[in-house]
Amino acid sequence: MSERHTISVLLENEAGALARVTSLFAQRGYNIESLTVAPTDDETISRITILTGGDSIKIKSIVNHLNRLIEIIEIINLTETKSIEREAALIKVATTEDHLSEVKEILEKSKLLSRSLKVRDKVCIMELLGTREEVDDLISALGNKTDILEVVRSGVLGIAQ
Amino acid sequence: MVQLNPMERTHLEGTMVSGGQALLGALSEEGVEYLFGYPGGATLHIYDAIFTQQLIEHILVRHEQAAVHMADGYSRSTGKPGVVLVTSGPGATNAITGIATAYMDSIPLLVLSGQVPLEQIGTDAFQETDMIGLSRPIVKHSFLVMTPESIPEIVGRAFHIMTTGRPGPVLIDLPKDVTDPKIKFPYTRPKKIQLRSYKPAEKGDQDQIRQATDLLLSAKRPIIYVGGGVILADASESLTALARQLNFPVTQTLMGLGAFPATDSQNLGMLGMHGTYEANMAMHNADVIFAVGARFDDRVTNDPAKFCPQAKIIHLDVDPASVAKIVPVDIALVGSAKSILSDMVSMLEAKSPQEAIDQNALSSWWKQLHDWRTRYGLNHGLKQTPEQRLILPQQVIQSLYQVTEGKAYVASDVGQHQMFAAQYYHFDEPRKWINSGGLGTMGFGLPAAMGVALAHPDACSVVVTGEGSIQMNIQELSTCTQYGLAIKIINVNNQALGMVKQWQDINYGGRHSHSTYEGSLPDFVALAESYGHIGIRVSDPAELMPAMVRTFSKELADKLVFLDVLVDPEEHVYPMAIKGGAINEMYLSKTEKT
Repeated sequence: MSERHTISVLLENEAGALARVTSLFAQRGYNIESLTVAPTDDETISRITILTGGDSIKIKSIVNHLNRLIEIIEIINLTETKSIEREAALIKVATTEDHLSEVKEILEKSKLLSRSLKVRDKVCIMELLGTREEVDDLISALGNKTDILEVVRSGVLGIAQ
Repeated sequence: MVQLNPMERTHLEGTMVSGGQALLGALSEEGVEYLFGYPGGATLHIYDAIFTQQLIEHILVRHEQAAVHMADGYSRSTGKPGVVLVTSGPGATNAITGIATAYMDSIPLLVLSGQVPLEQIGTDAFQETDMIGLSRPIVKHSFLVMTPESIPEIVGRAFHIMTTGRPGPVLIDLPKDVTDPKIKFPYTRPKKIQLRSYKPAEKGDQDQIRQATDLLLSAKRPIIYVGGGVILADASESLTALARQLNFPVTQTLMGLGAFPATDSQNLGMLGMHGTYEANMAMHNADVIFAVGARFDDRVTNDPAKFCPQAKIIHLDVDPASVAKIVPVDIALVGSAKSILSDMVSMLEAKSPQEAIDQNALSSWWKQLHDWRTRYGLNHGLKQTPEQRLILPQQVIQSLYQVTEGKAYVASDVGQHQMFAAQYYHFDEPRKWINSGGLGTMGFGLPAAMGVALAHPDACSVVVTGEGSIQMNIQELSTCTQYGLAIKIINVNNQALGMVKQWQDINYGGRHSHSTYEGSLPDFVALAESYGHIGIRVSDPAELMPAMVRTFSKELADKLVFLDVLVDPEEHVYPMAIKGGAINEMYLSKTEKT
């Protein structure tokens, strides 16, 4: 079972920069389990957070090859640093009156629910925020109790402590 | 060609210029003398700007692939980036092979590709291709120009990126409207290029360097393994000084030939798949390997799991991604070879190397190396006899070496002839051996030799080729006529795709699947003459030397000479690595192996 690492990449917010990063992963056969990208508080700089698999030799190779790209400013391996990781998820569920209280209980216990929005009769969208494993577990638990219509996950976000 | 100080060449600052003029101005400020290219719709504005200036000379090729190889040969033989200009669509795609060739050998090269106008991008316009996308895996970096004003800075960044750290090709995609002559702006170029995201290593870590020198001094069976990186870093002098200080044996990769004088007694020759017996044995039995500017390519290591089991490895490279990529290393030295080797020479000087080294062990090691060379050195199995009826390909190179006194620039194509050239032409200086190592591109030789001829008009530019390779860019004989390029083409004609045939002999029971031409070769002499060149054919061994002398005679100095040498088609290149083995496992001839 290979390890997973979350790598945070700061790069120039320029056209084509993201394509270079993803092409590199594809070319070299590195795996992208999840990827999120957005500008930082400095809008000339973007951050890409990638969850990738591989042992430490492979990860070192990935980091070295990423560093060769001209637009890369900094790379942090969040898994090897003290860091906090979160993932957001929007899930759309169909709730019936019978299961509503059980669903409510599961959500309250998990502490992951931020808000929930009823979009039409019996259909609800919930915002969740937690670690990747917590989100996995919650979706699993909900799936046992109600119909999950759609799950949209953001990919792992990480920040060094 | 008079060398002008780049800053004197233009006084463009503040002048109203179009994008096309700005491009040429910026290139000229970087010291560019030649553009190798082929016009097309997307680049017409640029070509008009070229027509009305005199600082940069444009060389018209007959196929865009040749333009890139010409710029590449120019770059390899001078260290200055070559510059290519191709149009959009098919012009750009024809350049791909050339760009990949340069990328694999880390050659600084600038490719300017025309593109359809900005608003047409993405509409499948006439002659549109996503060149940025296509070239992404084979360039160090690329730029899509969005405004004419950005051109001078982009050119400056491109040169900075190409020539620093690990060199490599850079592409600039130029939409046609950005070079429009009707849109003018005041030319301005930043005096200094600063990229916050790109700071390649220069000076090495002093502690690591110290450890490396200690390890070298403690070695009993050392070897210095030199790659193309030493030549790219212009570090030949420091490397040679270090090798001499230590009196250690030196071996080179295909790309490193010439980094250390081939005729020096410390040289073991090339290592790897077709390297010398003594070089490969030395590597396998070494206790300390100092790899400088080399990347442990599979042509050298054979099976990496079996590679040099007893050795501690010091790896010097400017690219941290290359260090410990294939085999684990004990000491990593990341930085410029020139800077680090220089530091090492100083540090070693202070440690009195001759006293610190175990001279008895080193003496025994040298004895062992000479013994190996005596047993199975390069001429083992070379069956020259006075009665031979066919010329041997190795003899072609030997006579070439003799007649040119080892001083020519030798470009080569790919195949058996390339390996023979690497084995039998002894390069004492860097930047004289010009070949496609990493990609192994057939068709590289002739245009590369043409680039060399333009870069060094007073020197002798030779291409060693085969009938397969030479036909891939044979149309460039026309370019040679246009620009009076007096290249000497040595065609090692064995009537087959020799290297493929060799592998088919050894690994596929001699089933020559499509490695022969069945009598369809042209009369190369007549072909050369049809372009106005000199053609000479030779097949009699006794006539080889006279033909070679005639090729390089003063009388023919200003002419391109195509010397078609018919050679023994049965010859194989030996030694040859045994697939899946360690570096010391080789075929030594058709009947012997280690």
